[in-house]
Amino acid sequence: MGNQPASAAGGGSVSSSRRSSGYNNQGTPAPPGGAAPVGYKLQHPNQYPGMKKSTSDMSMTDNTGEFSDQQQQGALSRLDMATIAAAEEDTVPTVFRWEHGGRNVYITGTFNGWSRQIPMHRSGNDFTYIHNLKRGKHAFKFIVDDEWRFAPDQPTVADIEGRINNFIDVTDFKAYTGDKEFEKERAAADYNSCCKSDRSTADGDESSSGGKGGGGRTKDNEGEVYGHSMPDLDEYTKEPPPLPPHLRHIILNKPPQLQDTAALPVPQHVALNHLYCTAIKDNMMVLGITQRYKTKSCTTVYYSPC
Amino acid sequence: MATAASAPSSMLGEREVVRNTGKEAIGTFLESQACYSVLRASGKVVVFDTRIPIQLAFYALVEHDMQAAPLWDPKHCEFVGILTVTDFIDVLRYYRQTGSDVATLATRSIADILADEGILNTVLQKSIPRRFVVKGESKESDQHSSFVAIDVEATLSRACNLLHDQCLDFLPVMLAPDMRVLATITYTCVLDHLVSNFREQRRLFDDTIYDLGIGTYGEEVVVAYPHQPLHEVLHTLHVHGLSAVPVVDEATKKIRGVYSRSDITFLTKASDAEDAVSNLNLTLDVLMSQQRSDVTTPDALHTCSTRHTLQSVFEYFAQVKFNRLIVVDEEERIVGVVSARDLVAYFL
Repeated sequence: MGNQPASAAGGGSVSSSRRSSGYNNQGTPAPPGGAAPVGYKLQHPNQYPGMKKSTSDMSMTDNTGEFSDQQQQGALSRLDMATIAAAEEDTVPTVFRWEHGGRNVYITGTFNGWSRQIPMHRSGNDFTYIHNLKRGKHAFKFIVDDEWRFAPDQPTVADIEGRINNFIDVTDFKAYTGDKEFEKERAAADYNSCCKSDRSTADGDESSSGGKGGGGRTKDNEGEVYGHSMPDLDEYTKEPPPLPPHLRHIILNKPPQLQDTAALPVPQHVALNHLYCTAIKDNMMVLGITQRYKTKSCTTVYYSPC
Repeated sequence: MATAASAPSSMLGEREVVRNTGKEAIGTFLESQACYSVLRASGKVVVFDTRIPIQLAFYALVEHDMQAAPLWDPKHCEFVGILTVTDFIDVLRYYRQTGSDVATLATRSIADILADEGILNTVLQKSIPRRFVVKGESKESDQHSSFVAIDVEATLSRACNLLHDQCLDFLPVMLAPDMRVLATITYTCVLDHLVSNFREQRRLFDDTIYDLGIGTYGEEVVVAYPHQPLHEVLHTLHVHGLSAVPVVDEATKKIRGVYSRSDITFLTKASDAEDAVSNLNLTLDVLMSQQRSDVTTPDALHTCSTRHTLQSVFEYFAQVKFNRLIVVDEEERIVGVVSARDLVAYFL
């Protein structure tokens, strides 16, 4: 594995980097979620069904390369100003995302020849990393707390030794230009991709190799998309963020002052505008909120039926 | 003789001047202060949705030891009234008079009770108590539909006038843009603010309250006797529009205690609604022995004599925050009553 150094701009370097990326094309278009180039677009998703897939040979075949060239032709024929500008650099700024927890998350992949583990940036519970990818397909994998992992919600591919990596295809990336035509094309592309994967599952032709990464998605009458892939366990078992300790000082819970029962302790300013509620009892819920007016605080206790 | 006659009159004149100066000073003060100034640094307001059962609302009032709670109508998104201990008393009296099933109190909502013509006509309007006096000739619609409140930036003197003219015990202070009630103020709140600002100015208030005519004296004082059952006493309170009544020993005419409307909340603590109604038949003797003595509430018995000056009454208020003083003579016989309302009203 490993990318060749970028030798020249334009279509030539695109195809060479693609050839050398060294993994099988699963025929699954880049998904809406997961790692995706900003404003990615598929030009010809329906060209895929013509391909013959090998389930055992994981290396890139010529067939695929040729096919990708065709694809590239199609893309080039529709270049507009924005993509020409991007083509000069011919890199696609791509956001990589890890949404499955962990303390320290690194990413590495074909885009740096698997040479270096790059720390990802934490934002909340998720991690992101932005890299300017050369056009073509790229494999990558995450290192989460010293453990190699792939993101189950993103397209995957197995390498020669059977290890599973994530991959992304930015061959046909087209920068978003804001025109209506683009939106239309993208919508069509999205729809076609769904139909396509639907069909491939039905054929059974690709289902053995294309089972991972959002395969088998169907669209129902309302346009909702369902899939067969199990959501990651972390997605729905994540602990909620802990309550900041200062919010535990609820002034309504302090013992009342005997002389003046309507008086409360002066609240900390961080406790203002937080809504507190009791457990529902006798079909009644009690809500409390402390708000400020000028320098004085007023705590409203609201009894409401539920 | 001529000099002897002129000296007292000039003395009187001087006294009059000092007295008026004091009154004016307080009048100006009330005019200059906004309602905001009597708000607590951190206060609590209990608000009831009108859909909750009235019984739960009263339990909540007792739990919070609050005297009044604004009522919020979620349908019209506005405050529609204020629920007080008096309403609780009225409802209990109604149930006792009509013998209705008390168990329904647990399910009837506040809105339902307030819209009940039967309750309104039987207990509320039979003898129009002061807080139902409606201005003009407009019909005596239930008071909850006319929600009287004052803006937080309005002057204190306006608040006092509202309390006085509308015969209110509680006046909600509103922050109108937010539709929030910041507090409900009473005469005691206003008096507290006055006292804390004028305690030092001894010179202004060294007349006796009796001389100033503050309070109710002599025949006009309404009293209750220990053998009277509670419902009778409550009726007396209701008819005269009082918040409390001094309890006097029939034989010796000595003061025994005070029974105030807020004492009714103790009934709910130990019992359900049915018990509460049957408790209305208990005599004051029994009830007063059950009153809690661990804390001094503003409604506890506090006495003074006719010789007390306004200044000393202020001083006493600063210590104990009474709602009213019972004026007694040397033998502890009742002479009059001075309420926080009387004290504030003197300056209006």
